[in-house]
Amino acid sequence: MVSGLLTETLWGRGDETTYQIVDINTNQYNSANRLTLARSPSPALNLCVRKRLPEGTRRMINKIVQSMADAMAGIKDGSTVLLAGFGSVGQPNALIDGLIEQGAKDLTVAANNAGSGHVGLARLMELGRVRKIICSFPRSSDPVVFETLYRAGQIELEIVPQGTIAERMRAAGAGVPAFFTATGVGTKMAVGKEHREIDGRTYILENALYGDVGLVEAWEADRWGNLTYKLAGRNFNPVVSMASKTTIVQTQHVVGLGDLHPDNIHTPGIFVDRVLHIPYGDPGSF
Amino acid sequence: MSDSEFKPFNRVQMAQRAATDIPEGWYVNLGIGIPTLVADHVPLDREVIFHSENGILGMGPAPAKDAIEPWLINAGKQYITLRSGGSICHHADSFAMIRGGHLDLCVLGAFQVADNGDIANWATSENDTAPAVGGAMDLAAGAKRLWVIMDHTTKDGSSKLVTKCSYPLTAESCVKRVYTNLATLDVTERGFMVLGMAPGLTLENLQARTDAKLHLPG
Repeated sequence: MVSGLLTETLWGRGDETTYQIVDINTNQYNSANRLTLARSPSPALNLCVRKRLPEGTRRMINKIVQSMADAMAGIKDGSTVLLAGFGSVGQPNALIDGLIEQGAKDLTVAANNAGSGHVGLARLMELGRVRKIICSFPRSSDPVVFETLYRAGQIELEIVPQGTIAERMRAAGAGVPAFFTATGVGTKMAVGKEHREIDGRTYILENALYGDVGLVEAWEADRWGNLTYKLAGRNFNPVVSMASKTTIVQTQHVVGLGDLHPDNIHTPGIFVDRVLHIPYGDPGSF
Repeated sequence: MSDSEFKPFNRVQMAQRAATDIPEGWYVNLGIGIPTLVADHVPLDREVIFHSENGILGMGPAPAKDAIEPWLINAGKQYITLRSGGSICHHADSFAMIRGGHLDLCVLGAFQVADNGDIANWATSENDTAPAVGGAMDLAAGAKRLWVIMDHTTKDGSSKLVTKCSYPLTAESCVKRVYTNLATLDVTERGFMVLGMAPGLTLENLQARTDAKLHLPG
Protein backbone atom coordinates (compact mmCIF):
# COMPACT_ATOMS: atom_id res chain seq x y z
CA MET A 1 0.00 0.00 0.00
CA VAL A 2 1.31 3.40 -1.00
CA SER A 3 1.26 5.99 1.74
CA GLY A 4 0.89 9.04 -0.31
CA LEU A 5 -1.27 11.63 -1.93
CA LEU A 6 -2.44 11.31 -5.51
CA THR A 7 -1.60 14.64 -7.08
CA GLU A 8 -1.25 16.16 -10.46
CA THR A 9 -1.75 14.34 -13.71
CA LEU A 10 1.62 13.81 -15.34
CA TRP A 11 0.45 12.52 -18.68
CA GLY A 12 -2.30 10.60 -20.36
CA ARG A 13 -1.63 7.99 -22.96
CA GLY A 14 -4.21 5.79 -24.65
CA ASP A 15 -6.71 4.62 -22.06
CA GLU A 16 -4.42 5.33 -19.15
CA THR A 17 -3.55 8.32 -17.03
CA THR A 18 -0.44 8.52 -14.88
CA TYR A 19 -0.45 10.40 -11.59
CA GLN A 20 2.33 11.53 -9.32
CA ILE A 21 2.22 10.34 -5.72
CA VAL A 22 3.61 12.61 -3.05
CA ASP A 23 4.96 11.10 0.16
CA ILE A 24 2.75 12.50 2.89
CA ASN A 25 5.49 12.37 5.50
CA THR A 26 8.23 14.20 3.64
CA ASN A 27 6.05 16.08 1.15
CA GLN A 28 8.47 15.01 -1.56
CA TYR A 29 7.97 13.06 -4.70
CA ASN A 30 10.08 11.15 -7.14
CA SER A 31 9.62 9.36 -10.39
CA ALA A 32 9.51 5.93 -8.73
CA ASN A 33 6.21 6.74 -7.05
CA ARG A 34 3.80 7.04 -9.90
CA LEU A 35 0.44 5.44 -10.36
CA THR A 36 -1.09 4.59 -13.71
CA LEU A 37 -4.85 4.16 -13.78
CA ALA A 38 -7.48 3.72 -16.42
CA ARG A 39 -8.47 7.10 -17.81
CA SER A 40 -11.11 9.10 -15.95
CA PRO A 41 -10.89 7.32 -12.62
CA SER A 42 -14.22 7.37 -10.94
CA PRO A 43 -14.92 9.86 -8.14
CA ALA A 44 -15.14 6.87 -5.86
CA LEU A 45 -11.52 6.00 -6.58
CA ASN A 46 -10.36 9.55 -5.83
CA LEU A 47 -12.32 9.43 -2.62
CA CYS A 48 -10.71 6.16 -1.78
CA VAL A 49 -7.24 7.63 -2.23
CA ARG A 50 -8.05 10.66 -0.15
CA LYS A 51 -9.43 8.48 2.60
CA ARG A 52 -6.01 6.99 3.11
CA LEU A 53 -4.64 10.29 4.37
CA PRO A 54 -4.16 10.59 8.10
CA GLU A 55 -6.25 13.17 9.94
CA GLY A 56 -4.90 16.70 9.63
CA THR A 57 -2.52 16.00 6.78
CA ARG A 58 -2.65 18.40 3.89
CA ARG A 59 -0.59 18.75 0.84
CA MET A 60 1.84 21.64 0.96
CA ILE A 61 3.12 23.42 -2.10
CA ASN A 62 6.48 21.96 -2.86
CA LYS A 63 8.08 22.82 -6.16
CA ILE A 64 11.36 21.24 -5.16
CA VAL A 65 11.96 18.05 -7.14
CA GLN A 66 14.41 15.35 -6.16
CA SER A 67 15.88 14.27 -9.47
CA MET A 68 16.81 15.59 -12.87
CA ALA A 69 14.32 13.15 -14.41
CA ASP A 70 11.55 14.77 -12.39
CA ALA A 71 12.75 18.23 -13.35
CA MET A 72 12.64 17.34 -17.04
CA ALA A 73 9.47 15.23 -16.99
CA GLY A 74 7.02 15.85 -19.79
CA ILE A 75 9.10 18.12 -22.06
CA LYS A 76 7.67 17.36 -25.49
CA ASP A 77 9.22 17.20 -28.94
CA GLY A 78 8.72 20.47 -30.79
CA SER A 79 8.79 22.59 -27.62
CA THR A 80 10.07 26.15 -27.50
CA VAL A 81 12.73 26.31 -24.79
CA LEU A 82 13.80 29.67 -23.35
CA LEU A 83 17.31 29.49 -22.00
CA ALA A 84 18.60 32.10 -19.54
CA GLY A 85 22.23 33.03 -19.01
CA PHE A 86 24.75 35.54 -20.26
CA GLY A 87 28.33 34.45 -20.69
CA SER A 88 28.80 31.54 -18.34
CA VAL A 89 27.11 33.43 -15.51
CA GLY A 90 23.59 32.55 -14.43
CA GLN A 91 23.32 29.86 -17.07
CA PRO A 92 21.49 26.65 -16.10
CA ASN A 93 24.15 24.25 -17.38
CA ALA A 94 22.96 21.24 -15.37
CA LEU A 95 19.42 21.63 -16.73
CA ILE A 96 20.72 21.82 -20.31
CA ASP A 97 22.56 18.54 -19.68
CA GLY A 98 19.30 17.21 -18.24
CA LEU A 99 17.46 18.21 -21.40
CA ILE A 100 20.12 16.47 -23.49
CA GLU A 101 19.53 13.34 -21.41
CA GLN A 102 15.73 13.70 -21.48
CA GLY A 103 15.63 13.37 -25.25
CA ALA A 104 13.10 15.95 -26.50
CA LYS A 105 13.85 16.90 -30.10
CA ASP A 106 12.75 19.28 -32.84
CA LEU A 107 13.21 22.09 -30.32
CA THR A 108 13.19 25.83 -30.84
CA VAL A 109 15.70 27.36 -28.44
CA ALA A 110 15.83 31.06 -27.57
CA ALA A 111 19.01 32.23 -25.85
CA ASN A 112 21.41 35.15 -26.10
CA ASN A 113 24.14 33.04 -27.72
CA ALA A 114 24.14 29.97 -29.94
CA GLY A 115 26.33 27.81 -27.73
CA SER A 116 30.08 27.44 -27.34
CA GLY A 117 32.46 24.55 -27.82
CA HIS A 118 30.83 21.11 -27.76
CA VAL A 119 29.02 21.27 -24.42
CA GLY A 120 25.64 22.49 -23.20
CA LEU A 121 23.52 24.14 -25.88
CA ALA A 122 26.19 23.42 -28.50
CA ARG A 123 25.97 19.72 -27.63
CA LEU A 124 22.17 19.78 -27.86
CA MET A 125 22.49 21.29 -31.34
CA GLU A 126 25.25 18.90 -32.34
CA LEU A 127 22.92 16.01 -31.50
CA GLY A 128 20.44 17.37 -34.03
CA ARG A 129 17.80 18.17 -31.46
CA VAL A 130 17.42 21.88 -32.21
CA ARG A 131 15.36 22.86 -35.25
CA LYS A 132 15.66 26.60 -34.76
CA ILE A 133 17.70 29.00 -32.66
CA ILE A 134 16.53 32.49 -31.72
CA CYS A 135 19.40 34.64 -30.45
CA SER A 136 21.09 38.03 -30.62
CA PHE A 137 24.68 36.93 -30.85
CA PRO A 138 25.30 33.58 -32.58
CA ARG A 139 29.04 34.19 -32.50
CA SER A 140 30.41 33.23 -29.12
CA SER A 141 34.02 32.48 -28.19
CA ASP A 142 33.81 29.10 -29.94
CA PRO A 143 30.71 28.85 -32.13
CA VAL A 144 31.97 25.88 -34.19
CA VAL A 145 28.86 23.70 -33.80
CA PHE A 146 26.40 26.44 -34.69
CA GLU A 147 28.41 27.63 -37.69
CA THR A 148 28.81 24.10 -39.07
CA LEU A 149 25.09 23.34 -38.76
CA TYR A 150 24.09 26.74 -40.10
CA ARG A 151 26.31 26.51 -43.18
CA ALA A 152 24.93 23.04 -43.85
CA GLY A 153 21.39 24.38 -43.65
CA GLN A 154 20.61 22.09 -40.73
CA ILE A 155 19.48 24.76 -38.32
CA GLU A 156 17.20 27.75 -38.71
CA LEU A 157 18.37 31.10 -37.29
CA GLU A 158 16.34 34.07 -36.15
CA ILE A 159 18.55 37.02 -35.18
CA VAL A 160 16.88 39.38 -32.71
CA PRO A 161 18.40 42.47 -31.08
CA GLN A 162 19.24 41.66 -27.47
CA GLY A 163 16.83 44.18 -25.97
CA THR A 164 14.06 42.98 -28.26
CA ILE A 165 14.57 39.36 -27.13
CA ALA A 166 14.41 40.41 -23.48
CA GLU A 167 11.33 42.58 -24.05
CA ARG A 168 9.60 39.86 -26.10
CA MET A 169 10.02 37.53 -23.12
CA ARG A 170 8.79 40.13 -20.63
CA ALA A 171 5.80 40.84 -22.90
CA ALA A 172 4.99 37.12 -23.06
CA GLY A 173 5.06 36.95 -19.28
CA ALA A 174 2.92 40.05 -18.90
CA GLY A 175 0.15 39.12 -21.31
CA VAL A 176 1.26 41.61 -23.95
CA PRO A 177 1.05 39.78 -27.29
CA ALA A 178 3.09 42.34 -29.24
CA PHE A 179 4.63 45.79 -28.84
CA PHE A 180 6.14 48.58 -30.91
CA THR A 181 9.84 49.42 -30.65
CA ALA A 182 12.25 51.79 -32.39
CA THR A 183 15.02 49.19 -32.26
CA GLY A 184 15.70 47.83 -35.74
CA VAL A 185 13.79 50.47 -37.70
CA GLY A 186 15.47 51.02 -41.09
CA THR A 187 17.48 47.79 -40.78
CA LYS A 188 17.16 44.20 -41.97
CA MET A 189 15.26 43.48 -38.73
CA ALA A 190 12.36 45.62 -39.92
CA VAL A 191 11.76 43.76 -43.18
CA GLY A 192 8.23 42.32 -43.28
CA LYS A 193 7.21 43.83 -39.95
CA GLU A 194 4.33 46.21 -39.35
CA HIS A 195 5.53 49.83 -39.15
CA ARG A 196 3.66 52.55 -37.31
CA GLU A 197 4.36 56.22 -36.71
CA ILE A 198 3.53 57.31 -33.17
CA ASP A 199 4.08 60.94 -32.14
CA GLY A 200 6.38 61.51 -35.10
CA ARG A 201 8.67 58.50 -34.65
CA THR A 202 8.56 55.24 -36.59
CA TYR A 203 8.31 51.93 -34.75
CA ILE A 204 8.09 48.26 -35.74
CA LEU A 205 5.84 45.62 -34.24
CA GLU A 206 7.51 42.75 -32.39
CA ASN A 207 5.66 39.70 -31.06
CA ALA A 208 5.88 38.26 -27.57
CA LEU A 209 8.19 35.25 -27.23
CA TYR A 210 6.50 32.48 -25.26
CA GLY A 211 8.31 29.43 -23.91
CA ASP A 212 6.79 26.01 -23.42
CA VAL A 213 9.74 25.44 -21.12
CA GLY A 214 12.06 27.92 -19.40
CA LEU A 215 15.43 26.89 -17.98
CA VAL A 216 16.69 29.15 -15.19
CA GLU A 217 19.57 29.33 -12.74
CA ALA A 218 18.93 30.84 -9.31
CA TRP A 219 21.18 31.52 -6.34
CA GLU A 220 18.53 30.73 -3.69
CA ALA A 221 15.10 29.13 -3.87
CA ASP A 222 12.40 28.06 -1.42
CA ARG A 223 9.69 25.42 -1.83
CA TRP A 224 7.22 27.98 -3.20
CA GLY A 225 9.67 28.70 -6.01
CA ASN A 226 10.63 32.17 -4.79
CA LEU A 227 14.04 32.97 -6.27
CA THR A 228 17.04 35.21 -5.83
CA TYR A 229 19.95 35.58 -8.23
CA LYS A 230 23.56 36.55 -7.68
CA LEU A 231 24.98 39.69 -9.32
CA ALA A 232 25.30 39.36 -13.11
CA GLY A 233 23.73 35.91 -12.76
CA ARG A 234 20.32 37.61 -12.90
CA ASN A 235 20.46 38.53 -16.63
CA PHE A 236 17.64 36.81 -18.58
CA ASN A 237 16.52 34.57 -15.69
CA PRO A 238 13.57 36.68 -14.44
CA VAL A 239 12.07 37.19 -17.91
CA VAL A 240 12.57 33.54 -18.89
CA SER A 241 10.71 32.61 -15.69
CA MET A 242 7.82 34.92 -16.58
CA ALA A 243 7.53 33.88 -20.20
CA SER A 244 7.48 30.09 -19.86
CA LYS A 245 4.55 27.73 -19.29
CA THR A 246 6.80 25.37 -17.33
CA THR A 247 9.69 27.13 -15.61
CA ILE A 248 12.39 24.78 -14.37
CA VAL A 249 15.02 26.16 -12.02
CA GLN A 250 18.39 24.88 -10.87
CA THR A 251 19.46 26.58 -7.66
CA GLN A 252 22.70 26.79 -5.73
CA HIS A 253 20.90 26.97 -2.38
CA VAL A 254 17.55 25.73 -1.09
CA VAL A 255 16.30 27.82 1.80
CA GLY A 256 13.33 27.46 4.14
CA LEU A 257 10.04 29.18 3.42
CA GLY A 258 10.30 32.62 4.99
CA ASP A 259 14.08 32.70 4.94
CA LEU A 260 14.11 35.02 1.95
CA HIS A 261 13.18 38.55 2.94
CA PRO A 262 10.03 39.44 0.96
CA ASP A 263 11.61 42.71 -0.17
CA ASN A 264 14.52 40.81 -1.66
CA ILE A 265 12.81 38.11 -3.72
CA HIS A 266 13.74 38.71 -7.36
CA THR A 267 11.34 36.24 -8.97
CA PRO A 268 8.13 35.47 -7.04
CA GLY A 269 7.22 31.79 -7.02
CA ILE A 270 4.13 32.27 -9.17
CA PHE A 271 6.46 32.23 -12.19
CA VAL A 272 8.20 29.00 -11.14
CA ASP A 273 7.13 25.35 -11.48
CA ARG A 274 10.02 23.08 -10.54
CA VAL A 275 13.22 23.63 -8.57
CA LEU A 276 16.21 21.30 -8.51
CA HIS A 277 19.09 21.76 -6.06
CA ILE A 278 22.40 21.91 -7.97
CA PRO A 279 25.09 23.36 -5.70
CA TYR A 280 28.08 23.64 -8.00
CA GLY A 281 29.81 26.76 -6.64
CA ASP A 282 31.15 29.56 -8.81
CA PRO A 283 30.95 29.69 -12.60
CA GLY A 284 34.10 28.78 -14.45
CA SER A 285 36.08 31.04 -16.72
CA PHE A 286 34.81 31.68 -20.22
CA MET B 1 51.41 68.70 -47.17
CA SER B 2 52.69 65.15 -47.34
CA ASP B 3 51.28 62.32 -45.23
CA SER B 4 54.34 62.23 -42.99
CA GLU B 5 53.79 65.74 -41.67
CA PHE B 6 50.81 65.01 -39.44
CA LYS B 7 50.42 62.64 -36.56
CA PRO B 8 47.19 60.62 -36.32
CA PHE B 9 45.70 60.09 -32.87
CA ASN B 10 46.34 56.65 -31.41
CA ARG B 11 43.66 54.49 -29.74
CA VAL B 12 44.29 55.89 -26.28
CA GLN B 13 44.18 59.47 -27.52
CA MET B 14 40.89 58.78 -29.30
CA ALA B 15 39.41 57.41 -26.07
CA GLN B 16 40.86 60.31 -24.07
CA ARG B 17 39.25 62.88 -26.34
CA ALA B 18 35.84 61.29 -25.95
CA ALA B 19 36.29 60.89 -22.17
CA THR B 20 37.11 64.59 -21.79
CA ASP B 21 33.78 65.51 -23.37
CA ILE B 22 31.62 63.45 -20.96
CA PRO B 23 30.20 65.69 -18.22
CA GLU B 24 29.58 64.69 -14.64
CA GLY B 25 26.30 62.92 -13.97
CA TRP B 26 25.85 61.24 -17.33
CA TYR B 27 24.75 57.61 -17.58
CA VAL B 28 26.95 56.05 -20.26
CA ASN B 29 27.16 52.73 -22.09
CA LEU B 30 30.46 51.87 -23.77
CA GLY B 31 30.71 49.39 -26.65
CA ILE B 32 33.41 46.82 -27.16
CA GLY B 33 36.87 47.88 -28.47
CA ILE B 34 38.21 51.43 -28.24
CA PRO B 35 34.97 52.67 -26.59
CA THR B 36 35.73 50.44 -23.58
CA LEU B 37 38.96 52.42 -23.05
CA VAL B 38 36.96 55.62 -22.52
CA ALA B 39 36.15 54.63 -18.92
CA ASP B 40 39.84 54.65 -18.01
CA HIS B 41 40.21 58.28 -19.06
CA VAL B 42 37.32 59.96 -17.29
CA PRO B 43 38.90 62.06 -14.51
CA LEU B 44 38.62 60.31 -11.15
CA ASP B 45 36.87 63.25 -9.50
CA ARG B 46 34.12 63.26 -12.15
CA GLU B 47 31.13 61.02 -11.36
CA VAL B 48 30.07 59.31 -14.57
CA ILE B 49 27.91 56.19 -14.19
CA PHE B 50 28.69 53.35 -16.57
CA HIS B 51 26.04 50.87 -17.68
CA SER B 52 26.55 47.39 -19.11
CA GLU B 53 23.76 45.66 -21.07
CA ASN B 54 23.73 42.59 -18.85
CA GLY B 55 22.09 44.48 -16.00
CA ILE B 56 24.97 46.41 -14.45
CA LEU B 57 24.69 50.08 -13.51
CA GLY B 58 27.66 51.71 -11.80
CA MET B 59 30.34 49.52 -13.35
CA GLY B 60 33.85 50.11 -12.01
CA PRO B 61 37.25 49.20 -13.43
CA ALA B 62 38.64 45.69 -13.90
CA PRO B 63 39.45 43.93 -10.58
CA ALA B 64 42.92 42.99 -9.38
CA LYS B 65 43.75 39.37 -10.27
CA ASP B 66 43.33 38.26 -6.66
CA ALA B 67 40.04 40.10 -6.20
CA ILE B 68 37.93 38.69 -9.04
CA GLU B 69 34.21 38.24 -8.32
CA PRO B 70 33.26 35.37 -10.68
CA TRP B 71 29.58 36.49 -10.74
CA LEU B 72 30.36 39.98 -12.01
CA ILE B 73 31.02 40.37 -15.72
CA ASN B 74 30.24 43.02 -18.31
CA ALA B 75 28.65 42.74 -21.76
CA GLY B 76 32.07 41.90 -23.21
CA LYS B 77 32.21 39.03 -20.70
CA GLN B 78 35.19 40.50 -18.84
CA TYR B 79 35.41 40.56 -15.05
CA ILE B 80 34.50 43.94 -13.62
CA THR B 81 33.85 45.66 -10.30
CA LEU B 82 30.83 47.56 -9.02
CA ARG B 83 31.24 51.07 -7.63
CA SER B 84 29.56 52.07 -4.38
CA GLY B 85 26.01 52.89 -5.39
CA GLY B 86 26.11 50.36 -8.23
CA SER B 87 23.07 48.18 -8.85
CA ILE B 88 21.97 45.02 -10.64
CA CYS B 89 18.82 44.51 -12.68
CA HIS B 90 17.53 41.92 -15.13
CA HIS B 91 17.99 42.05 -18.89
CA ALA B 92 14.60 43.55 -19.76
CA ASP B 93 15.03 46.37 -17.21
CA SER B 94 18.60 46.90 -18.37
CA PHE B 95 17.37 47.31 -21.94
CA ALA B 96 14.52 49.51 -20.69
CA MET B 97 17.27 51.90 -19.54
CA ILE B 98 18.57 51.81 -23.12
CA ARG B 99 15.35 51.66 -25.14
CA GLY B 100 13.46 53.99 -22.83
CA GLY B 101 15.91 56.80 -23.55
CA HIS B 102 17.42 56.92 -20.06
CA LEU B 103 21.07 56.67 -21.10
CA ASP B 104 22.66 60.05 -21.77
CA LEU B 105 25.28 58.58 -24.05
CA CYS B 106 26.33 55.46 -25.85
CA VAL B 107 29.78 55.17 -27.42
CA LEU B 108 30.16 52.51 -30.12
CA GLY B 109 32.67 51.45 -32.74
CA ALA B 110 31.49 51.35 -36.36
CA PHE B 111 32.32 50.18 -39.87
CA GLN B 112 30.70 53.23 -41.44
CA VAL B 113 28.92 56.43 -40.42
CA ALA B 114 26.94 58.47 -42.96
CA ASP B 115 26.62 62.26 -42.92
CA ASN B 116 22.93 61.95 -41.98
CA GLY B 117 23.89 60.02 -38.83
CA ASP B 118 23.21 56.50 -40.11
CA ILE B 119 25.48 53.87 -38.54
CA ALA B 120 26.58 50.45 -39.80
CA ASN B 121 28.43 48.45 -37.19
CA TRP B 122 27.13 44.87 -37.05
CA ALA B 123 27.55 43.16 -40.41
CA THR B 124 29.94 43.75 -43.28
CA SER B 125 27.74 42.25 -45.98
CA GLU B 126 24.06 41.75 -46.80
CA ASN B 127 25.02 38.11 -47.22
CA ASP B 128 26.80 37.72 -43.90
CA THR B 129 25.94 34.15 -42.97
CA ALA B 130 25.15 34.69 -39.31
CA PRO B 131 25.75 38.26 -38.22
CA ALA B 132 25.78 38.98 -34.51
CA VAL B 133 23.81 42.07 -33.57
CA GLY B 134 23.85 41.80 -29.75
CA GLY B 135 22.63 45.06 -28.20
CA ALA B 136 23.96 47.42 -30.90
CA MET B 137 20.58 48.23 -32.47
CA ASP B 138 18.98 48.86 -29.07
CA LEU B 139 21.82 51.17 -28.03
CA ALA B 140 21.95 53.08 -31.30
CA ALA B 141 18.19 53.64 -31.46
CA GLY B 142 17.60 54.11 -27.74
CA ALA B 143 20.33 56.24 -26.13
CA LYS B 144 19.80 60.02 -25.95
CA ARG B 145 22.96 60.49 -28.00
CA LEU B 146 25.32 58.21 -29.84
CA TRP B 147 29.00 58.90 -30.34
CA VAL B 148 31.24 56.73 -32.49
CA ILE B 149 34.95 56.08 -32.08
CA MET B 150 36.58 54.51 -35.12
CA ASP B 151 39.47 54.84 -37.53
CA HIS B 152 38.86 57.43 -40.22
CA THR B 153 39.58 54.97 -43.02
CA THR B 154 39.72 51.22 -43.52
CA LYS B 155 43.06 49.43 -43.73
CA ASP B 156 43.00 49.85 -47.53
CA GLY B 157 42.36 53.58 -47.19
CA SER B 158 38.65 53.85 -48.00
CA SER B 159 36.70 56.40 -46.03
CA LYS B 160 34.49 55.19 -43.22
CA LEU B 161 32.69 58.55 -43.22
CA VAL B 162 30.33 58.20 -46.15
CA THR B 163 27.33 59.79 -47.82
CA LYS B 164 25.44 56.49 -47.63
CA CYS B 165 26.37 53.34 -45.73
CA SER B 166 27.06 50.39 -48.02
CA TYR B 167 27.01 47.92 -45.12
CA PRO B 168 23.77 46.83 -43.42
CA LEU B 169 22.48 49.57 -41.12
CA THR B 170 22.43 49.30 -37.33
CA ALA B 171 20.17 52.35 -36.99
CA GLU B 172 19.14 55.45 -38.92
CA SER B 173 20.06 59.08 -38.21
CA CYS B 174 21.32 58.65 -34.67
CA VAL B 175 25.08 59.38 -34.58
CA LYS B 176 25.75 62.80 -33.06
CA ARG B 177 29.57 62.83 -32.95
CA VAL B 178 32.49 60.86 -34.39
CA TYR B 179 36.00 60.62 -32.95
CA THR B 180 38.45 59.24 -35.49
CA ASN B 181 42.22 58.92 -35.56
CA LEU B 182 42.25 62.05 -37.75
CA ALA B 183 39.46 64.30 -36.49
CA THR B 184 36.50 65.00 -34.24
CA LEU B 185 33.29 65.69 -36.14
CA ASP B 186 29.70 66.49 -35.24
CA VAL B 187 26.86 65.20 -37.36
CA THR B 188 24.66 68.22 -38.12
CA GLU B 189 21.81 69.05 -40.47
CA ARG B 190 24.45 70.20 -42.99
CA GLY B 191 26.47 66.97 -42.60
CA PHE B 192 29.85 66.40 -40.93
CA MET B 193 31.12 69.46 -39.06
CA VAL B 194 34.85 69.32 -38.24
CA LEU B 195 35.49 70.26 -34.59
CA GLY B 196 39.17 69.38 -34.49
CA MET B 197 41.91 67.60 -36.43
CA ALA B 198 45.08 65.66 -35.71
CA PRO B 199 48.07 67.99 -35.28
CA GLY B 200 49.48 69.09 -38.62
CA LEU B 201 46.48 67.97 -40.68
CA THR B 202 44.75 70.46 -42.98
CA LEU B 203 41.06 70.43 -43.90
CA GLU B 204 42.11 69.75 -47.49
CA ASN B 205 44.04 66.66 -46.48
CA LEU B 206 41.22 65.50 -44.23
CA GLN B 207 38.68 65.98 -47.04
CA ALA B 208 40.94 63.98 -49.37
CA ARG B 209 40.56 61.03 -47.00
CA THR B 210 36.81 61.47 -46.53
CA ASP B 211 34.04 60.51 -48.95
CA ALA B 212 31.42 62.69 -47.31
CA LYS B 213 31.59 66.47 -47.65
CA LEU B 214 33.16 68.17 -44.62
CA HIS B 215 32.10 71.49 -43.17
CA LEU B 216 33.64 73.94 -40.75
CA PRO B 217 31.54 75.51 -38.00
CA GLY B 218 30.09 78.93 -38.70
